[in-house]
Amino acid sequence: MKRLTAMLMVLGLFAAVPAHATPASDTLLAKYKSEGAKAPDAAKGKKDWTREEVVEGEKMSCATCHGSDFSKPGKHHKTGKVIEPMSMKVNAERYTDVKKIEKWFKRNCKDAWGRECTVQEKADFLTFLLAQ
Amino acid sequence: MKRYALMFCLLAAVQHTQADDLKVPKNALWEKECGACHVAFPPQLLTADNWQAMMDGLARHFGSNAELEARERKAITDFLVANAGTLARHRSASLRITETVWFKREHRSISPKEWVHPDVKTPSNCKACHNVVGHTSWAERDLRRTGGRSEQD
Repeated sequence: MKRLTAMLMVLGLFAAVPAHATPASDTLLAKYKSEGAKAPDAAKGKKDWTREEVVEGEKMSCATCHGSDFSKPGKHHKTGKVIEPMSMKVNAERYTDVKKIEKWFKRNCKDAWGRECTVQEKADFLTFLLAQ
Repeated sequence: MKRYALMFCLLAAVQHTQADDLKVPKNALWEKECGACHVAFPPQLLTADNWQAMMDGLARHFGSNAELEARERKAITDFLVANAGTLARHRSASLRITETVWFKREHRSISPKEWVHPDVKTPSNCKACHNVVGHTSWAERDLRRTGGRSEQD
């Protein structure tokens, strides 16, 4: 009986870990922190998601291609390529690959804002997106 | 007579390889990275110079940033260059495969209406009509036309 109680307690501990994190996201958030990012701010990530910059004469934000309903696919504004949903609730592949996340942060920040994102911005985005 | 027979055989061989010459050695990195956004276009369809220019300009890749890490970019470039087309009909000043002489000739029977069909949208959307793409087969028997019609319909 004691053993069962202990097992249940251990299970309870696992359940207490927030569902919105992956080993890859943990790795990246630790990396951003080691590179100077302060505590991630999901609210800032949310605000930045729709922050528009003019790149090559076009107003661009993350939402331009991804949309703002994270359970739905997005669409690339130029090529029309379908972009799988950002929410890990409907897309289990999201945030599971460190290299892939970094690759797309680099490409997309440059496409939408004309520059790479800072480690703080990436930490904020990632924390915001993990909760969607 | 012998000479004609030989010529005939050679012609037949050329005809026969048309569908097969899009076969490429398996390359997982090329398929993964290029195929993440579009069909992994067979290297034979552009010249080595074209591929080199394409891979040197990934930061501005037809309207979007497609930068790769240096190591992966080099590995994919080497693969594309090693298997590139060698004939002038595969050269494209714009780097668009759809603007090569080869592409236009292969697709000369496709009506303008089909290129803009909602299922197709753009000539670079190979998958709209070619069922099997990549390193396996582009044979005409595997074609389908817009609206689900097969090539024979």
